[in-house]
Order: sequence, then C-alpha cells, then structure tokens
Amino acid sequence: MKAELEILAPFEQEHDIFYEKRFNQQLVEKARKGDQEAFSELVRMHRAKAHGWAYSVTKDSFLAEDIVQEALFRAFLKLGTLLETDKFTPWLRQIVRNQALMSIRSSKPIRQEQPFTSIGPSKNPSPSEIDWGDMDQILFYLSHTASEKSKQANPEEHLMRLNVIQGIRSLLHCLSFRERKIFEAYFFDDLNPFEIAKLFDTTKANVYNTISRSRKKVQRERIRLCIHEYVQKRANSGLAKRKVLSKPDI
Amino acid sequence: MNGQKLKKENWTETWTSAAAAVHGSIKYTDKNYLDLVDVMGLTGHAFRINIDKKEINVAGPTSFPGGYLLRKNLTNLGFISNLADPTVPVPPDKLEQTIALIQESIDRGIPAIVFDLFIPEFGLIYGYDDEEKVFHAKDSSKDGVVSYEEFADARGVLYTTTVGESLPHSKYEMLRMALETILDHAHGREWQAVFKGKYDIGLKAYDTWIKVMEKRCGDANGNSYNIQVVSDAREFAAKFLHNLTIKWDGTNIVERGVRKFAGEAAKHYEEVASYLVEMRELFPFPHGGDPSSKENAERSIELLKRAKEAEKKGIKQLEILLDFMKNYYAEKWVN
Repeated sequence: MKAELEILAPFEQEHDIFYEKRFNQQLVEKARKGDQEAFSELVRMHRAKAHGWAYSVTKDSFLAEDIVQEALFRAFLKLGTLLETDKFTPWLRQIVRNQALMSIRSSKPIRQEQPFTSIGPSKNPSPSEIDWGDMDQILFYLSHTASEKSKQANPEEHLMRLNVIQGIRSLLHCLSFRERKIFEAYFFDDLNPFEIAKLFDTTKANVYNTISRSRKKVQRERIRLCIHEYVQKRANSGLAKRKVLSKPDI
Repeated sequence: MNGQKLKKENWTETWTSAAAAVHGSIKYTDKNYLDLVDVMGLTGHAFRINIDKKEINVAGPTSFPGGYLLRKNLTNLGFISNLADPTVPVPPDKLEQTIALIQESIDRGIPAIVFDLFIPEFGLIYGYDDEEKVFHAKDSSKDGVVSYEEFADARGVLYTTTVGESLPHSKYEMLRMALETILDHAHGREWQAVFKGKYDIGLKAYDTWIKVMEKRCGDANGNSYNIQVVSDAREFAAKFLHNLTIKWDGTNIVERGVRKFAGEAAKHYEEVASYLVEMRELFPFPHGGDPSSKENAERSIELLKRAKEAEKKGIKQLEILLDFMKNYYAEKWVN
C-alpha cells in the first residue's frame, strides 16, 4: 500500500509538485469519505513538509534539478558508508569521469544485459578491453585491479576499495538495465535530466521518475543487505532469535 | 461552572496515540498501576492542543518533536528512556543499532514505542523474529507483523523510544512535573523544534483556531480530526483532575490542598470539554461537515471562545496548585 503513494515522499522533484496538488485533492476527498490510507497519507504529507523546511535551512535550492542532484549524491555517499568509507566516491567518480562514460554520449547500440558473474574472474582485463559504458565491466575491472593491488604495497587501502566496489556492484544489481544506465549517467557524467532525456530518447519527467525510482530501489536493496547481515551476526553470536511479549493494550 | 457531566464512558481508549503507546508500554513495568487517565494527565497529553495556522490540518495532533516529547512523558512518569531517531536514508550502522535497541527492550520484557507502523500514529513493537525478519506490532488500527525492511523504510527519521529503568518517583514528584509540563504547554513555552511557527500550542492555539474559522479556511477533515483529539483530551483532563480529588484521600494539608485545587480546576476543564464536545457534534469525523458555512463557523467560534475562557480559568487553578506543590502551606499555624 505504501508504495503506491510514494510519489508524495519528501525530496521529490518539480513534476511532483504538479501531481501533489492533484493528489492532495484526491486524498482529501477520500479521507473525508473515511479512507484510512488516504487520511494517513495526508498526515504524512504535512509532516514531511515540515521536515522539508528544516532541510531547507541547510540546503536551499529552488531548482528541482539541483535538489535531485543533491539527493542523489547524498544517496550515493550513503552507499559509500555502507562499506565504511566515503573516500570511495570521489575516487571512483574521478576515474570514471575521466575515461569512461564519454562512451554513453556516443549512444552505442543497447547491449544485452550481462550478469556480472558471467565475466569470468579468470579473465585478466586490461583497460583497453573495458567497455567504459558498462558499469558491470567497470566495476569488474576496478575490483580486479584492487584485488591485484591488495596483494602488493598498500594492502589495507586496496582491500577497502575492493569491499566498496563489491558492495556497490551488489546494490546496483537491483536495478533494471535501463534504470541503471540513467542512474549512472546522472552520477558519473554530470548530465542534467534534459540531456539524459535526449540521450535515452525519452521525456524529462520520465528521467526524473527513473532516477527517483532507482534511488529508492538502491536504498531498499542496501537496507535488505544490511538487515540480512545483521540477523546473521546476531545468530552467530548466539542471541535469541525470537521473542514475542503478550499483546499490548493499545 | 456549568455542571455538565462528562459524556465519555470508555476511559481505556484515547485519540491521543502517543499517550496510548506510553500507557501500553508501561503496563509491562512496575508502574502498571497507572491507568490511561493517569498517563494522559501526568504526561500532559490531556492538556495539549496543537493547531495548524493555515487550515487546521490533520497532522496537527502529532506535529510535535516526538523524540523529545515522549522522553519528557516518560521522565514525568519516572522512567529513564532511550531514543533512536537517525534521519533517512539511515546508514547501516544506525539501522542495526535501532533494531538492536528495540530487541533489547523486548528482551527486557517491554514493548518499544514507534511511529507510523500501520497508520501515522504512535504504536508499539512487542515482539521480534529474526528468522522471519519481522516485528510483531500493534497500533490503534491493527495488530500484525511489520518486516524489518518495512520498518527501516521510514520517512523523515527512523524513530523509536524504549522504556528504561523505572525510578522511584513519588506521586508528589509526578504531579509537580505534570503541572510544569501542562503549564509550559499552555503558555507556549514548550520546545516545538521544526514545528515552531507553523503550529500554535496552548491557549494561543484557540485564537489561531478561531482565526482560521473566521477566514473560513478550515479543512473539513482536518478540523474534525483536531476536534476529536482535543475534545477527547479535555475529557481526560477533567477526569484526571477529578480522580485526583478521590485518589489523594489523606488527611494532611498536602492531600487536602490537592483535593481542593484539583477539584476547582476540574470544574473548568469539564466546561472546556463540554464546549468542545458540542463542537465535535457539529463537525463529525471523518467527513467533518461544513466548517465554512456561516452558521457553523459562527457557532464554533463562539464555542472556541468559551472553551478558551474556561481553560484560562482552569490554568489559573493549576498554577495555584503548582505553587502549592512547590511550597506546602503550614499544617498548623498559630499567629
């Protein structure tokens, strides 16, 4: 039920403002007829707005594009914290920006999506063989390099990078091929939604939607993995797996 | 005094979900003798009013800094509490710590207080299951399970308050703290965090409400919901004060003083409740009737003005009671 109304979540973009008014009206009508879900949504919306002001104290931008940029960038920084480092983002960004995703601009024909694991680990990639428009291949190359380097001079740093790359790889797998392309174009190529729309032959609103949806998917995937690890950690430490108290009087 | 009897009959349910959640959780502690009327009164929830300036929107009653207020509620009842409120998207370490906080509370035998389980109101998590990765949870709308993932997919902040050590606060301590909380709210001294400026509280909130009705800007649904919450709260307020006159049954000067001042205040709050209950009938929830019609608006403005006047008198009595609780009169005085 929650997912259906996600369009009204905070940090949404300019086109949502249009929807919001219409939605608001619909919600009010439904709520007045006793629709609990619609009523709940109204409560959430108003609360979210108040939180929004607080947010605007630190980051005040009227341009929806900037807001999207900011929100996405924050989301991506959080990906970094999953693996306990924020050094990763500028590092990866630099590499990828310099060499790689220029190839997206050249609008290569759409390739079939390949699961990362199908690029055999035995293969020894060299930079010239990498398709820099393919996130899987970039990550594979980087992780391979990191893995090689970890055996050498500065093993701790390289191991850390390896962890980061593997973490992001697993996260981005929750996105569809097209979603991932748009997501990547946004991050690594600094393209604005208008440029991306042109590149992918779609509308700006669609790009906003895709980026917003992708961001949520990545966040959910991150949460799922985190919970999975947490529960395993608890199980390994021998803590109780289940406890249910008597039903509360509420 | 208008001698109106309270219409409410069921004192085990309230429209103030924060108080319901606090009451629900402390039932698992040594202070399980406190009933919902006590909790509504001692936490100050029975005396709250939180009004949106623009249209009296539906978020009003829960638009307060939850972490702060619930901690204060539990402080008043003599509990140390724990709080988690990391902002979303929640970093993994914070998510782990928040889930751990809830599990640790359940392991101690006390449900955790959370917000927006099934509806955007306060509720309780009373069980966990790591194998299924679900919490067992209940709020006023539903009893069921919430997956850890759904729980983590919060808006704004990932909120939970858990009840910690129970301290031996006496009934004197509890009443004093309650009165301070109630008066801070009434006079707008309470900390409102990000809600400051958008929502008015205490006596000022009545004026705000009146202004919105004068401008005919009241949102029908929101208006009726706010009336439900505030009228229910004031019924509890009157009941709480009335109960003090019964429960403080000793013969010494303090017990006599509490009976006297609380009894005076109770009359005023009964009056407040009666006006608000009339208004509740004018704008039934959820449809909310028509707050912009001339007749309805004028009647409600009249009722709100009277409610405010009565509440002012009630507050005056509570101020006298607090002064007395801080400095008891002499039992015997020869002069």
